[in-house]
Amino acid sequence: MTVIQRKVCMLGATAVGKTSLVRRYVESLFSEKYQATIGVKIDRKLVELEETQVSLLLWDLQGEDELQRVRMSYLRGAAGLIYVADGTRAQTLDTARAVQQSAIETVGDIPSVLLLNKADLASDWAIPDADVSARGPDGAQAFRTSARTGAMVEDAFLALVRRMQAT
Amino acid sequence: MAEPARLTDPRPPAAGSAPSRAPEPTVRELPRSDRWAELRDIIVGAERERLARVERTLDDPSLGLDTVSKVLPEAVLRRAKDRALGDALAPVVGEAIKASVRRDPQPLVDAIFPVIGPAIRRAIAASFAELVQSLNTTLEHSFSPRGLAWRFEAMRSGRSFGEVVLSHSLLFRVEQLLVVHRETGLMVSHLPAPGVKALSPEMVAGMLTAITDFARDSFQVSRQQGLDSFALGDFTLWVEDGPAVALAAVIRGQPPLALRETMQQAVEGVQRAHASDLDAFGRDGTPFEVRRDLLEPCLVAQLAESSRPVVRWRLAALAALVLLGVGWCAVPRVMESRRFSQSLAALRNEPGVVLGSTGRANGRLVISGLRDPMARDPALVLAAAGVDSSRVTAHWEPYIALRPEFVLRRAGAALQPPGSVQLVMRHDTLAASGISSADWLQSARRVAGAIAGVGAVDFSAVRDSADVALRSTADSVERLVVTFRPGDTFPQGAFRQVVDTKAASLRGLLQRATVAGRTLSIAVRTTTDTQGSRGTNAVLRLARAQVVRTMLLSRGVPAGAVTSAPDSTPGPRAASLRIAIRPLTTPSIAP
Repeated sequence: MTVIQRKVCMLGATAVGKTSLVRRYVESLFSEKYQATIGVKIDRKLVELEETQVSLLLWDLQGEDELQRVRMSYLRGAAGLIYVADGTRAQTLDTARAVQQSAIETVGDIPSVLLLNKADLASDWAIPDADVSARGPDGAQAFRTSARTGAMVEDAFLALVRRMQAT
Repeated sequence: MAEPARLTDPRPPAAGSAPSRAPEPTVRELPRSDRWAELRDIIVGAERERLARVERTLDDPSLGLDTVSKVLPEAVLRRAKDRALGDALAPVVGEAIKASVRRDPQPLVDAIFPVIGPAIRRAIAASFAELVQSLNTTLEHSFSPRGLAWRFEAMRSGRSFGEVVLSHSLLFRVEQLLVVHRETGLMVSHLPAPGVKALSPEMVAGMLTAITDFARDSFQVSRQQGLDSFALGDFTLWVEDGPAVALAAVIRGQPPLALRETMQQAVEGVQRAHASDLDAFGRDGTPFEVRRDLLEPCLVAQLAESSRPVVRWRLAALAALVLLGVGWCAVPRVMESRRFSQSLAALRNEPGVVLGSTGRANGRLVISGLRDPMARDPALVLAAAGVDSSRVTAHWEPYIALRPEFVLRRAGAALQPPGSVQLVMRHDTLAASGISSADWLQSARRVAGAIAGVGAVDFSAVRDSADVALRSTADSVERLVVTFRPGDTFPQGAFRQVVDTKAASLRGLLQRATVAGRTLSIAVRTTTDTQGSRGTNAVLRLARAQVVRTMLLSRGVPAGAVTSAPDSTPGPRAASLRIAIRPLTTPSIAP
């Protein structure tokens, strides 16, 4: 079976759970301890589709905030992007949208998904569904995920892979 | 260009094609166009003929083959060193060989048979040589101190022993090659060296790209520039960039610069051989196999030269010298320590010496203990054991040993006995025997009881020397015997001389006894035989004793000292003397 490599970048504000999502997806693990990512961390996950195997190289990029901007050079060669926002912090959705604009300038309009993370904190949820399309990244299919419980994590990544393979 | 055939068509006109005309005169006026054609033939006819031949040659495939076949060998020969020609021909030749083998493999078998045998033999020999070298290396390092250290390192680091040996034996080795697509940062190909385990080369390629991007962004350099190399511990990573791919070599040790050129050639080869593949990879990630022959020249290694035997011998000689030096210094110390131990054992067994503490201080042996003054000098004991007494500091406290030999020695020193007296210890009793003067005996009795270790004194076996001398004289006098004939009371034969001698001796003896404070009692003992009656014999014995006593008295022997002592025991008819020596008793004086 053919193995195709695909580079996917995780983008979003700081502390939205990008690293936790990757860890949940690759290792099926979750840790409450928060460790900020410096620069970039790369993981690999083999995804089996019907006819092909896709070797996903997940570039977990440092989160964006007022002090630190994402290095767009890291996006070069990416086949898909995953925008991550924290469902309990509405402003992280704005950050995701801002990052998307920079990303499109760098790599064009490539397949992407939006992960509204921390779905397990339902009582603190701060992003109404209407805001997702209004304020979130354009054209990105949105998923409510939880790195803690693993809810929708596999689905979100798989949806992105399928979109990448469809293009 | 018009065809020449039209200009000069020699053929007669076809029948019925046109109304027949009257024959034209032989010389006639040519039409204008024909005149131009004729003029053209005259001017460029030869060139037109050559062009026609060239056209025929080009149109005729067989003629083209002939021409190409003439120049092809020369052309190939001229480009023989150009890799591009080889690259171009490789797929064609490969396909041709495959087709040929599919059709009939025998010709290829026949062709390669002469070379396949030596090739196999060479491969086997190379494998054996590699195996032997590997075994030699492993054995060489297995039991040496360095080998043991490497085994410990392997245990500590969790790596295999072979890997550790290799890491120390290598000058350098290219352990992995990564072909990275520069645009996407994805790994195109990965080629590890034999026996090298690579973990997630795709992630390594990604991180390499990320690091390069980071460095490029940080120092704001152009896209054409990148990281050439970086080092981490034993590893060096060299990167050679091409337009579409970068070749990264993970190298253990210090590689030679010549490897750069090899990597450049490999990058160029990959770019050239896989240009279209790389385009497709960049577009949609379509994987492809990079030709190994392009990369394999970069998978090189160089082993460190093993240390020469002469160096080993020098090391061995140096080690021997060091050992000799150590031995030179250590052996005397060991020997001295041994002698010291032996001397201490001797001191512990030495009578009259009680060993206390022992030890060393400032390179000297320090001994302390108790010593009886009568004991042997400890310095002599140490010297007998071979210990230099000048290296010993000894401190002895005096004490009195109660061992019998020491008590006896002490008694001898205190009593100073004459040579005729022997002293012995029986348990705690000091016993003396032999002959001594009365004065010594008296003094010894007084002193002996005060000697340490003497519980009792027994001098009963010591005889007074004066008594001994008197007794000796008395014995010689007693041996003088006078005999009687049967029934006679008067001695027979030359008895007068005997009696004279006896009397003289008795007088002298009496004088010496007096001087020595002794008194003598002399009994004239007479015996008779068994002849005659008991009464007669008793009278006869008494009479004979009276006669001899009278004879002694008449020769100056004091009467008080001589008594008659007839003996009723049957014996020879003889008279002899019995002399008893007693101490002179002082008469008690009434107060």
